[in-house]
Amino acid sequence: MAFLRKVKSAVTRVRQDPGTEDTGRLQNLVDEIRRQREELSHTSDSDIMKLAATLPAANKFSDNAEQVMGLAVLCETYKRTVGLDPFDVQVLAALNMLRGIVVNMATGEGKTLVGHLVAAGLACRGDKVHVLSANTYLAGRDAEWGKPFFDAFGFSVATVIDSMTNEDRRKAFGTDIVYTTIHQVGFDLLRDRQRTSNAERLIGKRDAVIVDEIDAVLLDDAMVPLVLAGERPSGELGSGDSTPAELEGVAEAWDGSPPPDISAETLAEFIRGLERDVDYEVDPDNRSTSFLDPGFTKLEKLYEVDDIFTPESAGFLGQAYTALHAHALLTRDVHYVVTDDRIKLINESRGRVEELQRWPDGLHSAVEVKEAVTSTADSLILDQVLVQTVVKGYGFVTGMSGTAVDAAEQLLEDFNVRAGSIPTNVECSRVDEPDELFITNDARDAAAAERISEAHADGQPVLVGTPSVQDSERFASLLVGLGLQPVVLNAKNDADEAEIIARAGEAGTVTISTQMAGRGVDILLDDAAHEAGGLLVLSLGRYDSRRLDHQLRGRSGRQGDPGSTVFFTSMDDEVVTENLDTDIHDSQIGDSGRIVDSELLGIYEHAQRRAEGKTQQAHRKTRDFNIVVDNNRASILARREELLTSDEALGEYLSKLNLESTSGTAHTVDWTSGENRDTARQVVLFEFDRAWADHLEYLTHVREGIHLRALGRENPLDEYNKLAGADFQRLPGQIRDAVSSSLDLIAESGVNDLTELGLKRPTATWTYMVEADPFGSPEDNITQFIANKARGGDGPKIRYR
Amino acid sequence: MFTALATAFRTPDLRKKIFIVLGLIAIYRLGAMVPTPGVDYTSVQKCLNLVQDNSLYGLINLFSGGALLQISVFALGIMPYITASIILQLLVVVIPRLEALKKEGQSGQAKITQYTRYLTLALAILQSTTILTLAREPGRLFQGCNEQLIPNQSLPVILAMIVVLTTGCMIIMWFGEIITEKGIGNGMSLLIFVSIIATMPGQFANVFTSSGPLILTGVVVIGLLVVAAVVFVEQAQRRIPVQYAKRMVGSRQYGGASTYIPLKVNMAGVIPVIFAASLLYIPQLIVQLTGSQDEWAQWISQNLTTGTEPLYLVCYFFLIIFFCYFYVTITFDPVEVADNMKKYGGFVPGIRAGRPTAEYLSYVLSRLTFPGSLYLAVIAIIPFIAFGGLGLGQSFLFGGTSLLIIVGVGLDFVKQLESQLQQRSYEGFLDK
Repeated sequence: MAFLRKVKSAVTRVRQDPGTEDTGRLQNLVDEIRRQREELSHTSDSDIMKLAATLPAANKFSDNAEQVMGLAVLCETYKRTVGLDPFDVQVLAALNMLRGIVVNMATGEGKTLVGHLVAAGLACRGDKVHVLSANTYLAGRDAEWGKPFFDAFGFSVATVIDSMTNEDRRKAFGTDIVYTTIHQVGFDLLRDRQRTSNAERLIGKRDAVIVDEIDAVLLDDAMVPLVLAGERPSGELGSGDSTPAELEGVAEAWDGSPPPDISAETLAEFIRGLERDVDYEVDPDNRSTSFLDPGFTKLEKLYEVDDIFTPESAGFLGQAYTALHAHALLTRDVHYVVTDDRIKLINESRGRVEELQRWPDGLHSAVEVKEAVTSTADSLILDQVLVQTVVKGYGFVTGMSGTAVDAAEQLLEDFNVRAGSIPTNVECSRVDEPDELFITNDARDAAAAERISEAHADGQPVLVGTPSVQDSERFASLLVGLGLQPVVLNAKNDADEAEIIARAGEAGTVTISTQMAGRGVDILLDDAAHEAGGLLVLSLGRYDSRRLDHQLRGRSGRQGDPGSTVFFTSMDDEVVTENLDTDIHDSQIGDSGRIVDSELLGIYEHAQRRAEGKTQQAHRKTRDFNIVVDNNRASILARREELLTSDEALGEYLSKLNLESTSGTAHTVDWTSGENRDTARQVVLFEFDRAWADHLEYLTHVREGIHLRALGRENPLDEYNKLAGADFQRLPGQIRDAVSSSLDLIAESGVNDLTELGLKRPTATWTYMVEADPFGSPEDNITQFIANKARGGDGPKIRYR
Repeated sequence: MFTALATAFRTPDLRKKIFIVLGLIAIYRLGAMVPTPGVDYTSVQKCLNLVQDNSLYGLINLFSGGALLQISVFALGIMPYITASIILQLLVVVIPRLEALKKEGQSGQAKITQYTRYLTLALAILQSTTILTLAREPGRLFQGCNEQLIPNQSLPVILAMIVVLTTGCMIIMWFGEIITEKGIGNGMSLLIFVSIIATMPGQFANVFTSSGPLILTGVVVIGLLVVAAVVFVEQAQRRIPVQYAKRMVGSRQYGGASTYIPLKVNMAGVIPVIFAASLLYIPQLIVQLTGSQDEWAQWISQNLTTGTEPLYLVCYFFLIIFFCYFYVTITFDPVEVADNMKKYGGFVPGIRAGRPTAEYLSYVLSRLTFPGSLYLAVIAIIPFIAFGGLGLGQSFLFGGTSLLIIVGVGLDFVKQLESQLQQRSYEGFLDK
């Protein structure tokens, strides 16, 4: 048996199924655990509790024997405290996770329970454990649920949520096991890196992390940088003190006459008056927009210049581009909602409102102007890290998800963890029907509505997945027209989420939801629904990746329940239109717009794979471009930490400065002791942070145009690293100069209030996203050229953009 | 460059990468020396001494570091892999199914890479069979040398030799991939680089024994001067400043200092030289294949075979210039670049976005390509003239192709090394 398994895993490796692991090789340990548990089952409650209390001291979960013995105790304790008896498959999952393998567990298989077991096991090793959930509601629920279990071992447990004060956060992060979300951790880490006294530190050691829905957190969200931004001090454009030498010449070009002042409102009004495809055009993949010649001419008239393509008017042109972007590419209720006089972004892969998310600054303001809501502050990025960087800061990473195996290859590449599939406790009896493909959205919607009516008539509960808020509302009204009463769950009412999802399994309900609403909450069937065939999941179109499709399918068929899933797709779906140009002949279309041609069915899947490829490419690029920033951040933070915690280091640093206030006669100050030292430390830390913010801003600028280097056969990443390195090496000097002049200023003016002197920063946090590369490589172009000749100019049926 | 190398050696994981590269290169060179079982080593050496560079397989032999004519286990070198890559690249464009795969990103690309490996295997079998077929008959592989290279020509022995040569080729391909993935630089280019460098000491020795120390010094001096010139021109570029308007709001203005299009003087690299040399090789090949002794064949043999003939030189010169323009025209499409810039809010200061920008780019490019192509043509023919003048005959040592490859790969390697160093923040935060 063992031999066969070895052969099988060898074959898997040869077949190149990268990143996957055979979880079943631990089955003999699971059997052993079962035997030991049987013995323990006769032990009295009080003896079990005694055993549990001594476990952390006795068992480090380091080898097979310890893990077997430990898990047996954990399981038995779980049964006595929480009242649930872990299944063998859950024990198997826990065993794998303790070895750092990410497990794939279908919906309803009890991931939360597994998380509890693993958290306790890791805590026995002496690790501080963070368990990251999809949202703070789930984090609180899971912590609450596991508390009696953790108490038995003497492990403290806490939840960190949005509304907590810093004091509470510090306390919560001090416990053995912390339940929270990745955003809470990320933001607190950013706040920590800006702290000015050691006592303010929020997060301590980060030994181990268990990530629930690991693919969603680490892949879907990994590209989103968590940003710590502060109000930009008025009148300040960057720090302004020191410009890299190479830039000085250019800065002079800006001393022209001040251009006419045009308010953002006027500009927005002007943009609204432009005509699409005459004054401006929108890229077919809906990712970029630009002015056409008449548009430029109108802009020049508005701005009262003859030529807008000058460095002097670049600022205005930038605003115009941004306003156009807000006008033409961002749609209300698709990309954002307006509530409480605020713009709130919709996360497209989850279909829910992201409270803390913002677009890059100018764009966010432009949308605020477009929707005439109160404008929020202009901000300065103090620091930003990728979700990925936050996760990599843990010594040990594991997790679970219903779609982990789909993400295995990327998890391996990005985090060096492998994923393996855990069999379900009861065999899954869900039926996944083949896709139904239609020529247009209208034909598709009609057929989908008909299918829903039929299922509804049979008493089957239906969950309809839609790509956007707009679609969910449009489709709901279509169903209402047919006499149904659908419940809509989208980004606009996600407060009622838990309640809506809880009822979605009742016979006869039709729930329309945007992607992944109600994560972590199971849809339980009532008896009538069970008999009618279980939950029907019907999706209008596929998502950008098969993994997201599988997430949706997973809502049905929990714990052996009956159920079925089907995707009603159309050639109008975004996944097709954004990735391919298609050209369909009538012969390929059947009755009522249904597509029967197998080639076109294949094309739909190809479009989806292209979307996946694009995402992956962008993902990888973001990662590669961030390495240098992460490493530089680590070096500057290590130095900052030293100056923050060590008086000696600070004294030495200050003594090397060339200060007038220590050498001059007029206002002599000794900066190396007492209150003065505290002031000096604040100034030093402030200048460190300001210099870093400055550096980040410069990198953002470099990043934007660095792809042009590929045109000269240079590698953009190499060039970026070079520029980033050169600018980073400039920072120490810049900081020293700034500290010197600030300290001299304080000594001279006698003012000790750092806020008044502009030497203290305000704080606020939000997140936003990054863009991808527009150019092909020169190699692509040469082969394309030869190809066009070879084909005699006859384009293929599908043209690629 | 040397400081970069020294620092790299002090950075643990970079040191590991460099050792991976060096280790693989060492094995690669060793394998190039080890004779394939079944080959009579002494006969091969006798023949090698008899015929120096006058060989049908000049370019391939160059790319295999002389291993081909030695019939060593790595005789095939990296060439089959390169050929397979080029064929696949072309097929991707012609076959819609492959094009679709390519557009699917990483997973599709992985499949294409897998096909490339299969094709390499096929080519390797084909080539090893060809070489052995030639080597079996005395006088075919080395014209005019009648030694018996393979004494035992029974089927099992020949088959075993095919297996050895093919395996050697696949191992080299594997080395190349390891270098690209886990080492520094591009594996394929580095292996070619090594092969070219490897022939140098032997060639120096030849010059020394045949012409004496004075001539050797002359060769080295000319060589170094040409290398210096090539390094200089290869790095020369015209920077077209580009301003991106999009993120201007609220930020410090950086102008176009780091945002520019680098238009290189030699945009085309080594490719025009290879194209020209290959094209000029065709007439010669026809003569050899037909074995004709007619008038036209003799004319070709006289005028279009060696670099010492004026007609050959003139053709070579103008073909290189032609291919320079050809390459630049098809790889750099000013209209596409201008459109892309406009799409993302970029412009060249003082020049209107869209068509005027395209026209401007194309104007600058054509002015740049002219001197660039002249440079390439001159570099390519200098060795022929100079070494011909010194009476050394046509040698690949400082020939245009190898020289441009050496400098190109070398510059790339150093650039990547520097980038990797910066990426690791190797100096830390230097404020002490």
